[in-house]
Amino acid sequence: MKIETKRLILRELADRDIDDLVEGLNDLRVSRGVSFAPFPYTKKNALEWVKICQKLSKIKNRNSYNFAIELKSEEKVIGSISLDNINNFQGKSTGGFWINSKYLGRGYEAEALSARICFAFDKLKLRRIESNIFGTDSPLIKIQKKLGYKIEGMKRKSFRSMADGKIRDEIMMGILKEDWVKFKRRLK
Amino acid sequence: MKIETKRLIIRIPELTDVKDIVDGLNNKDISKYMMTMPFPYKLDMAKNFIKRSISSSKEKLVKKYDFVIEMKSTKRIIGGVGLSDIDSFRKIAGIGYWLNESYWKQGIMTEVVEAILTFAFEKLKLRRINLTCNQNNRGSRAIAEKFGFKLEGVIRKAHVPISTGKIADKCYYGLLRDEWPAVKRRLK
Repeated sequence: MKIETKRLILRELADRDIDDLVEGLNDLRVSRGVSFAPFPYTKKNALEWVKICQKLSKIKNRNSYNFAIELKSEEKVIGSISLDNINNFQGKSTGGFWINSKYLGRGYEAEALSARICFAFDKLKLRRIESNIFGTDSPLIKIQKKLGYKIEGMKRKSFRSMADGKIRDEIMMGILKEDWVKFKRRLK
Repeated sequence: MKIETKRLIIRIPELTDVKDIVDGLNNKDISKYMMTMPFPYKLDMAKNFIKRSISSSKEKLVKKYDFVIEMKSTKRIIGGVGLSDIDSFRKIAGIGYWLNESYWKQGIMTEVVEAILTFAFEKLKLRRINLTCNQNNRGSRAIAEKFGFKLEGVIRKAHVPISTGKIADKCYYGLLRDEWPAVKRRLK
């Protein structure tokens, strides 16, 4: 499974990505906003995680996709993006995302998120993606809003990061297929 | 594992409960608001539920409790209540419940939910309880509000009960342990 955009390739995670994953996730500014990463984040953590993702990618009736985000120009993995808990009857999925802090704010976030949304709606035929944000100060809130996501609520004191142990509010965001269609129409 | 209240015993189900469970759940007015409850509800489904409930209660790190509600006076099973997705790191769980229609409007669910929240906050020391329901489920929402759950979000088009296939909004409620003592005082 592989998705190509202007500057990025979203593809399955591989063992050769370990060093890039450690570089990106061994950074509290990043790991405090993801659900699965301890701090410090070691090669062993990354290897285990890649193994899990590889296993999940091979199950029948696959219900999750964990993509590495590879920057074409540097042939480097600068983050990862996922669809998890895909439920075809409900027509929905949850989604996770992080990006190496050195690559923040250059539009890679929106490029990767857009590719994931297209994949979920056009290829997997889902009608809804839920991408909750951990912490009310995340720049991702604004980026997702721009793409058509709506803030649907806030789970008070719901998230606890493995990286710093702190408890934070969780912003519930969701995008429906019709939100995405509307967003694309506006672009034209 | 057993919780006793004035009129009720809340406990792990036994195989002999199977008929009462089917009697309660084979009711479209109940399953039409439940995300994963099939209709018609058959004997073998109840058997599987009981087996799963027994085995999950025996796990080292219990991830969910699926209890049945026994009416002391008649020894009949008249409903179910559970804690799901118990997250021991974040100290969070979800609550869910159903009641045989013949026993509605007698204050039974109030008795049940008070006992389960006491168990969750005071015995399991959880920090937060989530409650989600179909937006059209007025009975369930009334319980949530009675117990001081805060409506934290309305998740658009996110609730599709398998028995009806109808897409509805999902109400997302949360109650924090800090809020529980005041709720308990007010109920008395």
